[in-house]
Amino acid sequence: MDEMFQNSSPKEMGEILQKAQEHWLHTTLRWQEVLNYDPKPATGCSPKESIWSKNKSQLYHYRTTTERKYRTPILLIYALINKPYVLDLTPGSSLVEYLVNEGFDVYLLDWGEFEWEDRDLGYADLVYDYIAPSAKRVARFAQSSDISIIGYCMGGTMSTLYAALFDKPKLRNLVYLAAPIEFNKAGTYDVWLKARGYDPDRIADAMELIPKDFIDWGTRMLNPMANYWGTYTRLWKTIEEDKPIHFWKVLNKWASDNINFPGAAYRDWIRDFYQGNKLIKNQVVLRGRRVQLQRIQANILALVGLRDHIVMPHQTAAALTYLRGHDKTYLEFPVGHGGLVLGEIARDKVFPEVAAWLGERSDLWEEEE
Amino acid sequence: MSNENEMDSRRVMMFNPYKFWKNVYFAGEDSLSSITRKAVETSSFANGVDFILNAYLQYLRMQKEITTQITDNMPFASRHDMARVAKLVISLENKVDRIEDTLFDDLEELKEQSAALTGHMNERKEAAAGLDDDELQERFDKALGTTKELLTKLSGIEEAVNEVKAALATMNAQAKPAARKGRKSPSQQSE
Repeated sequence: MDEMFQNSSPKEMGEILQKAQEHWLHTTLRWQEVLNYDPKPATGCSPKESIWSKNKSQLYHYRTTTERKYRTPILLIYALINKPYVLDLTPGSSLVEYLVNEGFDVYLLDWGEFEWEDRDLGYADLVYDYIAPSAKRVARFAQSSDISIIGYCMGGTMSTLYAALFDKPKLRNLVYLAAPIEFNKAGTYDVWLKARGYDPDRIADAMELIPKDFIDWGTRMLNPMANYWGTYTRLWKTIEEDKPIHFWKVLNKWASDNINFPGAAYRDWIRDFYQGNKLIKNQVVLRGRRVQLQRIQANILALVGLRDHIVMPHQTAAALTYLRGHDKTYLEFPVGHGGLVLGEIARDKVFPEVAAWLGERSDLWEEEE
Repeated sequence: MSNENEMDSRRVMMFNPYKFWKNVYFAGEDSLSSITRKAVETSSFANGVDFILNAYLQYLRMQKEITTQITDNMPFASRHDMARVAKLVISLENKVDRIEDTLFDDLEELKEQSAALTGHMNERKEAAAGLDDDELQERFDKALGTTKELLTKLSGIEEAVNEVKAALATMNAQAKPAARKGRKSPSQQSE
């Protein structure tokens, strides 16, 4: 209220209003300039090399300038929605950069952009032909008999499928970042995907390769006002308050950078996971082998965002109930879905927690040298 | 003049419309955001969207059937044809990948076995050296030579596999541009 009413003389007030008008005009011009002309900011800046590729996917190894402290390598597995550079968004706000600086040997499986020829890729293909060979190559490249996996969102679910089916290399630590394991009471998705008229088979049959716009629409419509309009008014407000807009730009770049979704995987994802909740029932069968969660003996760290409306906290917490390992940790943070890898809380609290937890459960590099 | 100065120095509570609009607008946007969020969480919204979606899917099917009929009779490659070629390349890549993997595992196993065998034979050789038996020494040397030959052959196989892999990668690179017509450049993909 103090801001809206000011104790000034009429002359001062006139000057204030004139300044405000000029400031707003400048803000609005800069705002439209950012939206229309500003070049896209650099993302995924941590130095890396591709050590394996298949189809459009790449397995990246991050180079380090700091001393390596841990022998056990970390493989990051990202979802099939948007691109994985959110894990290495921009210097100073990058999970990859943080882990590398902490002395970990970090790898990332980038799925690439799925095209028409990839429309028949299902979860079985993604797990057997992409995740399993990646895990093997990571262990080989790092000269380690065991590995750690960090799975973000759907990447965590896929990591679970892998962990239940493959024994070598030994999965020592499994970190879930807002990854759904239980698909009951899944918030808005529960209403949408379990509606009577929603048929994933019909969608997959008709579209074959699910267009990126369709996936993007589904994600943005969870909070339409904030995603379609609020994003831009927030930029205006940031400029008006003379705050840096770099983070808005990198985040907006990532949020708008979608990829197509293979139709077969979409069918599996909706029908078996969301509608059937088959993962916790041990009913998922990939290439004739049943995914049994009790087979997973890795140490578990489950991180959730309390304000997450894409993956509810209980969906990730289910890992502690259904997986077999004895060393299980569950941590909650007051953030949304992206807040576990983006923003101040991620940088100041989430990343240090992940690094400390993994550090305690990884072999030291010096020990075996 | 004194009146003007008096007016300038008189301080009153005045309304700033810019700040008022900003505060009211952003508070309103938050409320609107939570209202729309609640609206999309209803089953009536979901049913409405599904109705539109199913109509769109029907249109999509019809469009696909028509375009398939047309492209089947046209003298140029359709999207399906190009995808088929791309799939062949990918499956070839898969095969090479499996061969490489199996070969690597086999080589590792052979290396371990050879190392164990060499160690074992060295032990025997040392033991035999004490006997001062030239014939025995010769046999051990021969066996060691065979092991070394085996290792050289293995290295040769490894090199040959790498050559095959490089050739396939070249083929792959030549075949992919055709199949990926209209797609983003690799530098954009890798980002």
